[in-house]
Amino acid sequence: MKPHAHGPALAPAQFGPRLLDRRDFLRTAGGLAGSVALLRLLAGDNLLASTAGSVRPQIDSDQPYALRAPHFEPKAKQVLVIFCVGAVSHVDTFDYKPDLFKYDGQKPPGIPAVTFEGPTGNIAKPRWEFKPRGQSGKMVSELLPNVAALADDMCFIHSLTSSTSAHPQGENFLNTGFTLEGFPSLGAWVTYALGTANQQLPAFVAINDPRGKPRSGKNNWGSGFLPAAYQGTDFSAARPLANLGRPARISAEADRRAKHLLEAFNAEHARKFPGDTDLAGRIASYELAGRMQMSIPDVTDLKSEPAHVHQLYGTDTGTDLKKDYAKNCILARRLLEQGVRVVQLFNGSDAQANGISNWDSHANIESTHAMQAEIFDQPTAALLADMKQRGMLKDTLVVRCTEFGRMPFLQANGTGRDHNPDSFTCWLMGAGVKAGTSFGASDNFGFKAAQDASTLYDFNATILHLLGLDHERLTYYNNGIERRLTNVHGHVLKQMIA
Amino acid sequence: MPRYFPLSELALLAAVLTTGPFVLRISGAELPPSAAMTVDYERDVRPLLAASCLDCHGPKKQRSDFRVDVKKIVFAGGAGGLPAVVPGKSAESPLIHYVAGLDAEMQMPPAGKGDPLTPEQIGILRAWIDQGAAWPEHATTAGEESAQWWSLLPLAKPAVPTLAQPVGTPVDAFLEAKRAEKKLTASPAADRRTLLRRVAITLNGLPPTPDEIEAFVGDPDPRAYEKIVDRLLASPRFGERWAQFWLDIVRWSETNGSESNLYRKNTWPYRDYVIRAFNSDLPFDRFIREQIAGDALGVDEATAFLVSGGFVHAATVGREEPAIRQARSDRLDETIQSVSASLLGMTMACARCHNHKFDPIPQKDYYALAAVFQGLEYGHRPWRNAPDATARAARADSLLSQFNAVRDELRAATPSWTEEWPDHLETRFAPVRARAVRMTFVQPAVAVVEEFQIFGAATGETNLALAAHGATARSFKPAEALMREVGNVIDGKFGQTFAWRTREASEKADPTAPAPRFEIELPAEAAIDRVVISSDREALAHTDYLIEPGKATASGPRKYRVEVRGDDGAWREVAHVDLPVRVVPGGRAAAKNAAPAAPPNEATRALLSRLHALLRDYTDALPPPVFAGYFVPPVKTHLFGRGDPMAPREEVVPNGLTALRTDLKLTSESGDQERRLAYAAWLTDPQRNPLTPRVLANRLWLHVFGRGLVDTPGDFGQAGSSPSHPELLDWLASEFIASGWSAKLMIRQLVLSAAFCQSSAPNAEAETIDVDARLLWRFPPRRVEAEVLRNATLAVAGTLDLTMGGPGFRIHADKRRYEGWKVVDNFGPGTWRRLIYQENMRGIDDRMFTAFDRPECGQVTPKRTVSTTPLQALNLFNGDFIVTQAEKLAERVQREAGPDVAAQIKRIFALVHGRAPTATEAAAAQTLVAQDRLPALGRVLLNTNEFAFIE
Repeated sequence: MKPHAHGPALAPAQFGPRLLDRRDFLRTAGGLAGSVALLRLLAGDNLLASTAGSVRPQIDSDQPYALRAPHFEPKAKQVLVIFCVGAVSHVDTFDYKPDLFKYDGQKPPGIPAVTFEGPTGNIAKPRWEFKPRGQSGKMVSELLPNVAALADDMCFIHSLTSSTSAHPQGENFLNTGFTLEGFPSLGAWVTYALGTANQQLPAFVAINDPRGKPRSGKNNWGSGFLPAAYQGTDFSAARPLANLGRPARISAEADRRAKHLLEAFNAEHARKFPGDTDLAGRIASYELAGRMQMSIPDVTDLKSEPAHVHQLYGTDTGTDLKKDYAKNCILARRLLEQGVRVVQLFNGSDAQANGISNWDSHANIESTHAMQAEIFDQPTAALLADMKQRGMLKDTLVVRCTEFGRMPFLQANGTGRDHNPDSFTCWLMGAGVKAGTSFGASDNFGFKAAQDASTLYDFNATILHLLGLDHERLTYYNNGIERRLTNVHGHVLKQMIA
Repeated sequence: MPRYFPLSELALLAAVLTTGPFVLRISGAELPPSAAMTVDYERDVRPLLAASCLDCHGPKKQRSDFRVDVKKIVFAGGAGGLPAVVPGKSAESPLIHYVAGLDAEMQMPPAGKGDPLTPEQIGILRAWIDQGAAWPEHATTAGEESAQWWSLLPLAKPAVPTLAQPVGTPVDAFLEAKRAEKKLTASPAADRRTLLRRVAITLNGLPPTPDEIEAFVGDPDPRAYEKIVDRLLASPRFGERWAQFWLDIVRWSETNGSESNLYRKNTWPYRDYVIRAFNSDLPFDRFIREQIAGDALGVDEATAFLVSGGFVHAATVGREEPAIRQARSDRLDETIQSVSASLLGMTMACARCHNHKFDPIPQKDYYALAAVFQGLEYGHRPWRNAPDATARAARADSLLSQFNAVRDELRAATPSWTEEWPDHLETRFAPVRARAVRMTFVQPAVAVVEEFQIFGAATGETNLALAAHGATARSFKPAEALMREVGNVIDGKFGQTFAWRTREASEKADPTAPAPRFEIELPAEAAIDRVVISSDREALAHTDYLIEPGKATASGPRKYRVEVRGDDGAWREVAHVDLPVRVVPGGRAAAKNAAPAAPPNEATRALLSRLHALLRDYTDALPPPVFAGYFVPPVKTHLFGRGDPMAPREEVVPNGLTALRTDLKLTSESGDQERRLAYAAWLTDPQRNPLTPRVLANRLWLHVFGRGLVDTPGDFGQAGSSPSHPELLDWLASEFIASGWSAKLMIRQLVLSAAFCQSSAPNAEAETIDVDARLLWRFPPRRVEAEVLRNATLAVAGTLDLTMGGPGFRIHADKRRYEGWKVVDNFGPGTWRRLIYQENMRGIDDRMFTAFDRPECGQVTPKRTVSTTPLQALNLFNGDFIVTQAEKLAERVQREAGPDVAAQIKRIFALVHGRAPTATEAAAAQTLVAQDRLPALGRVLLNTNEFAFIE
């Protein structure tokens, strides 16, 4: 056990170059567990001394994705993260601010001279009408009518803040807890901690937008300094997983024969090193790959979905981008149904298609947000309603997030809103979430968080908590520091939890 | 009389310690039970105190004059000071009373200052006190209590242990002494085939050829192995193997990271420099000094080390002051991480925000290191020592004088002309007195101006248009013409974020509306003769593979008028520029309807054409830019409260570590180069800094044996792992220095040890004592890295292209500025050089070997993780790379073994595994080949565990 750089947790994290430490293997290997020699060995390494509850996932090298116990009883077993890339304007969607109508076109005191992109202009009222929704009467704008209809199932947080007003850093901060690159993503932390139920599919899938990757690319689903086993696997309805299929020139029978011979050669070789977990782990990885070759094509084949499902999600109407995003939404549901632990669904990318790349709206917010909403609204609402109807929200947490918000005022001489890291809205839905409520509030203009100001550390701590993980105890030693998703910050937002 | 507690606390303590009944009343029963475990101060107690108490009772603050990190204060008794800890008596120790909250008013940590300790944590503290409150002497941190931590102690060369039975080399004597303590014995020597493959991969990253194996197996010379080692060390492949480890640590990459992740033109010279350094066995101390201050030592490319991390472009930082300061602070932090992880083995990162909680690194030390590099900026500078630098310089001189002669001719022939430099436009005209300059841009093309400069013959290279020199700018805004503030063009900053741009006139625009324009007013009338317009210098000069650089030029103005007003108030036109519009692939045609300026006469056109030919040759002859950072006058460094650049505190001067009592004798006025030279000298002076040689010796060990003597090669502090063989580490570090910092001699010594040459066969009994073979009772087998897997595949297939150095091979497509890199060819013949020569884009999956734990270059990687994933299996079994190489391997085997299948199978085993197949293997292989032909067997063998492990 090693001293902790941060936080009160006392347990050790993983040292050693290997994903799997042999000591873990020994400790979990039944035959050896009782031996005196082994106990001495473990005591020598201080592994028995952990008292405050180990944070070190017990990882067996044969099965890096094996199910592992959470820190405490979880509310949710799986998580779907819907990430609206480019920063959605909260004041035009979910954060209703009547004062914006009152001050429309004015520049009241307190507005800074310069924000991210440059000089500021005047307050601008929401570009879409707000209406009360459902039992809760939550005011949501007409920009997202289908999603708005589900407001009773959501728990909104209106007082989120980020520590950066730049997109790539913002994506990094939201998804990894650090603005700089190279830190593990939320999905990587979760699969490192919990493994996954379905060994035939990746534990963590990142479904990219039809247009391409977000600004920070792979860093959003990367494993950082965690073993590469925990990085998200990225594929989508339109873009299959690289190297999944057998090579075109090789027949199915020949491929099978090659696999068998490989197994035989590896088995023969392993006899020289009885009990070697590294060799066994690599043999197992080929078996798992073989199973994925069967199960991934199955899960990505949307033809088996009935016509009414396609209709519900909208795979056949609207723009091509919307149709493709709708297919990704169906894929997300199918993956979750199969027990994939973390699904990250992107709406927006760095690359452009049809004149739009994401929610970023420095100019012409009316048209850019409308174009993006056309892609987002129907398929997302269908996905959520479908999951609800199938009972999936009992075990699945849904997180709808964006890297920051947008300003209540326009840019100088402009028609768009600049980035706002001091107040924005995200929402949770599903397992463990206090539905139909809102937490925290921004000021009269939606300019700064005013009540229960919260950080993305808090938000991520809450997500981990719902998954049965203590964000302070889920750590990994890297270069001198026990690293966490939440750095040295974060408090669980209990008010959002049912 | 020292007083450690305020009066109210004294009163309580007095009651606790002196009033018998009171003591009885609280002892034991109300406190959480003592933990039933053997407590270790380092492991169990210090982290707990650090987490809960140190903020208020530590180096930063000493509430009630008390601190938990100084032994004598915690235990202070007598002379008025009351002990917080009474060894052996936890129930009577005030510390326990406080944390257990016996008196609500004395609850520690107080409400709002942290969570109360859990009963388990209190139990640990109690157990520690009850067990005698052992507090090792070295365990006091930061500050005046000087460090006794092992890695900071002076380096002394320990004696080689004398053993009853002498073994192998001195290295083996150290190892044997440790093994003997655990009743372990070394394994017998490995067989020669295994040993040769092990040492060839360790030293050169490639497996031996069948001929090399047979020669070694049959070599009767007792020095046979030594000869092999010397040959491998002398091979250029050695540097290509070992440079990678160094590049990993500093996360060297050829792009900047972040959103645009732009390619860094000419960053490969650093990769080649590191390879060369290993191949020529450049003394490591020299290697370090060059990487810190190569600009002063004739090796410009070496300082790429300092800027090997990523950074965020100005465009992505934004315009807000806190963000701009944070970005600068982050850039320096990247440099600090490179230096500390690779050379110091001290994790300075913690000290950015607060004193290091475990190591004696006060926050001041972090900023002292920041001050050392305060003169560093991320970017390019001329590569003055490029291989053909001398020839280039002579050529540039000669071209420049020809160029100037043509300029003189032009001056006589025409009142004005415009020179198109690679990254800017320069419009020259007859000298004129100017109080103001007006630029008018002809629509409909978009014009982008990031910086506008005005020069005069008398004022030389002084830019008269700088706002800092008193110039002012204003623009005129005909409908929808302008987007950004015109002040950007005279702010001295390049980069398109800080640009002024016109908007493209729409079809509907009023054709009679005035064209967009700006005016620069000078503080006083001055003689001027040229203006310089920059649109996108950075992209044009410092990156490659951008789809838009042509577009950037086109978006720079092509048609404009330059007018000048003197103190007399009259405007006169001094130039009317009409440059041919560049055709941009994918870009829009521009300026269709603009009225042409008066065309130059034929003689002028000829002169201009000669001038531009010379200009191109001249700029080609100039030292190429190399991505190795550039240097600026250092500003004063301040400590930032909680790491926040908006909260500067006291001034900090450049220096090394306080714990080593460093004094570099530098001040805030010291020049940039002086700082770095002084720091580099300190880094490489073992008398003053014992860390660097220890860190390096450990690193060399790590890459030979697969695991360091210290298992955390970037962290020799107290959160790191302790050395398995401390004396051996110091002995190696001393040897390293004595050998003149020769990496090759050190590595030679290690691979000649019996420990390296022993068998890797398992041994159940030894494994129960030392399962990981840290004590080296066997050679620990291990997986090969991505590089070895790939390079070995190419080598056995006979396709490896051994071309060394220069620009790497590309697997990616060109891209737009805001777009990701896409892999287009990661398997074709153009990619068959060693993997170290693959262009390395930060944070980008190469769709093949990234899955094999190749670093993404986001954070420093002192040691790679090793994981086993199904994606690796998919890539290696189905990817085009292996399928192609399996076919090449089959072709080679057929060529070398002829048509007989049995001979082919023998040959393919010899090439891939360096041995003959067993009878069972041969039979199974024969069956597969009969059905699916030889490439199928190649694909299988290249996927085997035997090929992917070093035994």
